[in-house]
Amino acid sequence: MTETVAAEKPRAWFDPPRRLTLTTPGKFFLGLTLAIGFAAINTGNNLLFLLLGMMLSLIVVSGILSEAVIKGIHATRRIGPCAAGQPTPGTIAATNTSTHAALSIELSDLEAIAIGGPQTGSVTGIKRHPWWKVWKKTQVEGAAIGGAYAIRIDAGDSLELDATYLFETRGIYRLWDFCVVTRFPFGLFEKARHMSGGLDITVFPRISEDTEWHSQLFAQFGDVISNRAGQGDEFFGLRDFREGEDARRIHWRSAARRGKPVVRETELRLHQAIEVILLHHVDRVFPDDLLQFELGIERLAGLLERLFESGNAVRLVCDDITVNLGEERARERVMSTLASVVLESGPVRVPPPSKDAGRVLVGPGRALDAVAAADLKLRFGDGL
Amino acid sequence: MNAEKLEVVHNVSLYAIVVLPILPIIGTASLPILAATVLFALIAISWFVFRSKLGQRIPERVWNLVVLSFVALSLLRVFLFDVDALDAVVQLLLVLTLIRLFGRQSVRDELQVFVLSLVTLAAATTLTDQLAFGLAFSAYVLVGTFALAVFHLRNEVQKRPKISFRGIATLNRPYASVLAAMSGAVLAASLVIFFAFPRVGLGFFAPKMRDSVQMTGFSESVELGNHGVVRDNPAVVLRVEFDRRPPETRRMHWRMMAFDRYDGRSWSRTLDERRSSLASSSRDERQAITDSAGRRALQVQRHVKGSGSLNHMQIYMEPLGTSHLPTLWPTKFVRLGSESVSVPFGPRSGWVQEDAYGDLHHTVADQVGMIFQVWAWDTGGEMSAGRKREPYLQLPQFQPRFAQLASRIAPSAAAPEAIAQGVANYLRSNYTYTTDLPEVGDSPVESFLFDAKRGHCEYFATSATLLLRQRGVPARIVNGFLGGAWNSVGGYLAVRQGDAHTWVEYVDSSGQWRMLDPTPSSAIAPPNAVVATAREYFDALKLFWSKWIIEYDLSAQLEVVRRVSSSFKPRSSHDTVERIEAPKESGWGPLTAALMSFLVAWFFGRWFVRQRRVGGLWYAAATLTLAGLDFAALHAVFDLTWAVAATGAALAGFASAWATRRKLSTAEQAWLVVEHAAAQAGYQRPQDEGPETMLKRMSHALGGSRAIDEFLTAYLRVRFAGTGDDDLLLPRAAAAAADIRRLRRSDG
Repeated sequence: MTETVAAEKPRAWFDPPRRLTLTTPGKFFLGLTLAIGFAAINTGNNLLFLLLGMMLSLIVVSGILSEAVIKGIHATRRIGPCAAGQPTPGTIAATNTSTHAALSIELSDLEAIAIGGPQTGSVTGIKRHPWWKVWKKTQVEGAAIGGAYAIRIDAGDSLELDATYLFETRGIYRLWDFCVVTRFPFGLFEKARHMSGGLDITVFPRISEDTEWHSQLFAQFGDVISNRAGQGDEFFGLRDFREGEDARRIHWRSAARRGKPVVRETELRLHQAIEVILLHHVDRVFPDDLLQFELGIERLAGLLERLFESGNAVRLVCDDITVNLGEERARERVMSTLASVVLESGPVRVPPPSKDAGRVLVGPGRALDAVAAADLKLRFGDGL
Repeated sequence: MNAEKLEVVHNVSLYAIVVLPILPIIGTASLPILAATVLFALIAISWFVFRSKLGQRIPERVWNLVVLSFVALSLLRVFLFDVDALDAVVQLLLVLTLIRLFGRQSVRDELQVFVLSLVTLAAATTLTDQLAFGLAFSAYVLVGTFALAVFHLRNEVQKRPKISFRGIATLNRPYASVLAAMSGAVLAASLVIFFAFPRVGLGFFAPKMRDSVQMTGFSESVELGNHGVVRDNPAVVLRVEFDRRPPETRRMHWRMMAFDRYDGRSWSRTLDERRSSLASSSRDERQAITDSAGRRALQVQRHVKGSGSLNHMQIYMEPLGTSHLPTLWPTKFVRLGSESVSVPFGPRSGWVQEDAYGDLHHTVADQVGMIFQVWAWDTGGEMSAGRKREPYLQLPQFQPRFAQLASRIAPSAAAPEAIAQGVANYLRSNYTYTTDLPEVGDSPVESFLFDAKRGHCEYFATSATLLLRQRGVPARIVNGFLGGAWNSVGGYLAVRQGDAHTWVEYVDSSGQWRMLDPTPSSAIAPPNAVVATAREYFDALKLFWSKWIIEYDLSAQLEVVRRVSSSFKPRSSHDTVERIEAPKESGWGPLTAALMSFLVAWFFGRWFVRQRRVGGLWYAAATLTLAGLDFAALHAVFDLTWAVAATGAALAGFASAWATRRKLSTAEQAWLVVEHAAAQAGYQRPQDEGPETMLKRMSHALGGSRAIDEFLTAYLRVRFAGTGDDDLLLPRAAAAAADIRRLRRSDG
């Protein structure tokens, strides 16, 4: 993940430095304050004014203390590889540079904007209504993308906090709203201070196991018999155990029968090279197509994951991007490609056929129908 | 502190805020003593029921049924049995609170307990305005603030059950100190807001008539032989503030009510009770005056004469259950309310009326107690008696010896003044004052004069009045208070119930009412010095409560503003009809005090902020404390104007010192983080060791620390080369600090 130094200045001009939201107790408290203020003014009862003074001072003190708590907090976060729909662990390092302890603070990525993938341009995460919109049933809708909570950070101290992040959809996101949030001291208001430092994060697609696609693929590009011992599943033969070999390879039942240690050998599987070409253009995109496309991407991710495990020589081709599964960081590159690909309208582009590999076309049915024959076509859904 | 202890603290504070609003309403119609006892017992039981989770097993619908039943019962009581609606509402609140205490299961239920407690406190404001409310309120602010903070902390921890308490005690002493200081700050801020909040209310909805705490001692009837012992009752009924402490207060007669008819046992009033409003008197009688303190106001004068100079006094009267207004004899001007303007509307508005006896009445709607001002002469005092003298010559049937005694005391040819003096001298010389009354017969006066020869003021006054009438001098008795005790703590005169007194007024030879007090002085043993001092402090506190909380209004606010603004310009006294010469004063005194305070505060503030790591909260707390002490000291020595001006200037000085302080750069802040971590790891940097040497040594001790090395590079760049990214410095300092703390652990 990369820490971006985003140009935050224009945003700072328009956004207030702090965001204030009413909590449910805060709503009650504010309502009672207004009621007591009304009663005090209309009755002239000084004891009600005294009560009003207490409630207003609680609000003022709440504002001052919450400011004191969040003012000196600086934090950075590290997030591991994310997959859609799966909680991802992260770490938030927080430092309190003020001269007093910070109490009850939450460090959260409240919102993220998708800058790649199917949700491009949309904002996800928590939605907070301003404090004055008291008629809203809850002032906070949704949940933060991720975050951590600290009961206390002493003055000048720093803590590493375990955080959890969750994205529902694949794509590339910019975490631009990293905030220190507190409801201290009374839980009446929630105050958030934005911290600079955007973070771009790629969310891999969900992995969907699909035995049908897998069977089709292996039926077409199945293992080739080698008549040699090696890595594989089929039985090849038994031979004597050699000194220095891993004792776990001994086939104990045969060894007992023969009275000496023997090793079970499997036949070496030869894999055929496969080129998986992802098509993501159709003549026209209908709303239902998008869901089918997402499901297709998840199935493709599952298929490629199986291919990673089986050790097939596979390469993924999508537009100008070509990733060989055997190269360094191939898995990350494949998943990143799948994370950002979107269904678009336009002419279907297919790279020229390769001589050294089987050709598998994967994509929407309409796109597959529009192109020449291939060794195998894997369709995204029925209607697409 | 672990989660269990936090839960206990939360429960204790929750119960405290439930109990505190109930305390001031104990004994009122809403919560009689017996009901309060039962309530507290149930609250105590609910503690154990909650801990055993018994209440949680009862379905919610059962609680709802209980609430609905109680609501129905309350409605029945209100509509069928004429129970006050407010009392029923308060009782319903208490029942709801109890139900929540018994059956609370979630944060929502506890939140409801908080809300109910606050509403109960608000309801208590309509039931009582005694000092007990003030004490309960102060405790509520302190405890409630703490409870809210603990409630918040507990909820945050409950939401995250995986939070462990390792290493850091959540609610240890420093944390608790912060919460305690916060509670104090909220209390102080409450008072500031209370005083500053503009009293612009119109009072359309007058508060419920509070349960009158009426005083005994003063009575609207006088019945001899049936008088209780009130002499030792120390409850204060009047508190009188003078511009200057008068030399003699023991002989001050606070006149309230006169009687004309005596039936042989009790006194009554026979004259027409219709009153005339002094405000509707002829225009000539309304005058704008300026007295020696520069107070200007439209006053109402009476047909009362005196001599000497007019002294101003402000009187705070406790509820006496009467519309009679006690005024010092002889009083020239009377005015309801405090100084400055009066609000002509609201539940406390009213005017002064005078009846046929010359008694003054107020028309204020409630009987909570009130404030009024009096301008009275130093000496003398006479009031026109009018032409109607017959009622004041009425006598009951006495034995002949009564007439003989009257003849013996004063010759018939003497002037009324001489007769009055003779009667007074005779009674003072031959009779003894006592509250331990002997048995009296059918004629208490004759028993007193001829048999017992001892009695209290009513016997002396009644006997003197009747003797004067026997000699043809129109006379009447007057009820009121005599003297009072000077409260040196509050600087005012406290007139107690025990000072209730009766004396005589007679018509002199010029047709004017004159005062005559035939009662000899009594020998009352002074109370224990410690008790007396404690009483003084307590009563001063009550006056403060009454003056600055209960009666604080727009007039008082405007008065403070007026005084502050007028203190900076020479006073003028135009537009006055009756003028009491006031010395011209300039505003240079307060101005000089303000300037001095500003300079002292500024220099002190500068020194204070130079101390390393002085936070804004500490600075604000220290500033407010010093300003408060400054105000208290100046107010004690000088007047309010000086105190306000100097304190305001001191606050401005502190604020400017803070605003002009040198702020730490990012590099300095980052270095402090690292240095703090090093100090925590037990490393003290020698004076001759630079940052580079120190950090390299620490990195080396760790076998090479990338975080420390990165911070060192960034720090040196930002601090000394003026290049580098400021934003990354603090996170790097945090990482380096974490490594340095690792050094401590590995050492351990």
